[in-house]
Amino acid sequence: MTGNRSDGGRATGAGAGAGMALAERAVAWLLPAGDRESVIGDLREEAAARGADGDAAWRLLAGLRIAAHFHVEPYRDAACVRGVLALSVAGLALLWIVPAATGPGLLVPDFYTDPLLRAVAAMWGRSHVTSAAAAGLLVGHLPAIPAHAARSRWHVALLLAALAFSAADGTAAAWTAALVLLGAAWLGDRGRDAARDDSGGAGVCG
Amino acid sequence: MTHGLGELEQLVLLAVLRLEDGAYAVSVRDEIERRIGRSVSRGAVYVTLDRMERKGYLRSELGEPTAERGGKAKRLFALEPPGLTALQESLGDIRRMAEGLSRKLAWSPNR
Repeated sequence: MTGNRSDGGRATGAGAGAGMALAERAVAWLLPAGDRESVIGDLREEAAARGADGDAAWRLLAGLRIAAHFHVEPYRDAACVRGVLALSVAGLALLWIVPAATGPGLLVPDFYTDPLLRAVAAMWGRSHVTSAAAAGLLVGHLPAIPAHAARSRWHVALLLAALAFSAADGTAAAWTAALVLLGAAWLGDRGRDAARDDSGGAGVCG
Repeated sequence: MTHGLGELEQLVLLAVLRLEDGAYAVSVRDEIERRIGRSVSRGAVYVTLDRMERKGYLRSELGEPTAERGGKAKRLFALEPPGLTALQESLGDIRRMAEGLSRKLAWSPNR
C-alpha cells in the first residue's frame, strides 16, 4: 500500500512538473524574447514566496495576464496603429482581389495523373489558398510596423487567417488557407529579418 | 520641454531610483504597493519598465541566475540621466500645479 501511495505521489509530482513546464512554455511563447527569462524567473520567485510553488494554474494565469499587457502595449504607439491598419487593409485587399480576379481557382494540368498530386495541386490552385499565401507574405514582409511592436504583425496575421478560414469553401480548404497564410507570414517575417541583417541596420521599422 | 510622464511611469521611475541596485520588476512592484498601499498589476509594471527603457530613461541588464528562481536571471534596471531629468520635470509640474492649494487639497468630506 505504501509503495502504491509512493508511486501515486511520484506520478502526481511528475504530472504537476509536466503541467508546470507546459504552463511556463505557453507563457514564454507569448512573451517578447528579451523578457522571457526574467519574467519566468520572477514568476517562479513569486510563486515560491506565496507558497504557490507547485501551482501551475497560478503561474499560467499570472503569466498570461503579463503577456496580455505586452500584446496590448504596442497599440499605445500611433505609428503601430497606423502600421497595423495599413497591413490589415493591404492583406484584406489581397484576400479579396485574388479570388475576384481568378474565379474559383486554377485548373489542374492534365499531366498530373497521380491522385494525391492532383489533390494537392487542386487545393493549391484554389484562389482562396493562393490569396492567403499572398496576403501572408505581404503581412510578414512589409516593414510597416515599428520594431518594438513586432507582436502586432502576428495579430494582423491571425485576423487575416480567421478571415481566410471563413471565406474558403469546405473545411479542408478553410484550414489550408488559414495555415498557408500563417506559414507565409512566418516566411515573410524571416525574409524581412534576413534582409535587415544583411543591410546591417535595425532600422526604425521591424 | 515636457516629458509627459504618466502616474505609473512616475511611480516606476521613483521606485527604481529608491531601490538602486536591486530594482527588478518584482521589487519595483512590491515597493510601489508598500508605499502607496494599493495593488498594481504585474503586467503594467513590466510594460512600463519596458517603455521607459525604450525611451532611454532606464537601462537594464541580466543579473546572475539564482536557485530560488529556478536558474533564471533577474532583469535589473537603473535610472539613466534622461530618466532623472524627465522625473524632475514631471514632479516639478505637479508641485507647481499644487502650489497655493494646500488648504483645498487638505479638505476632506469626512470633516
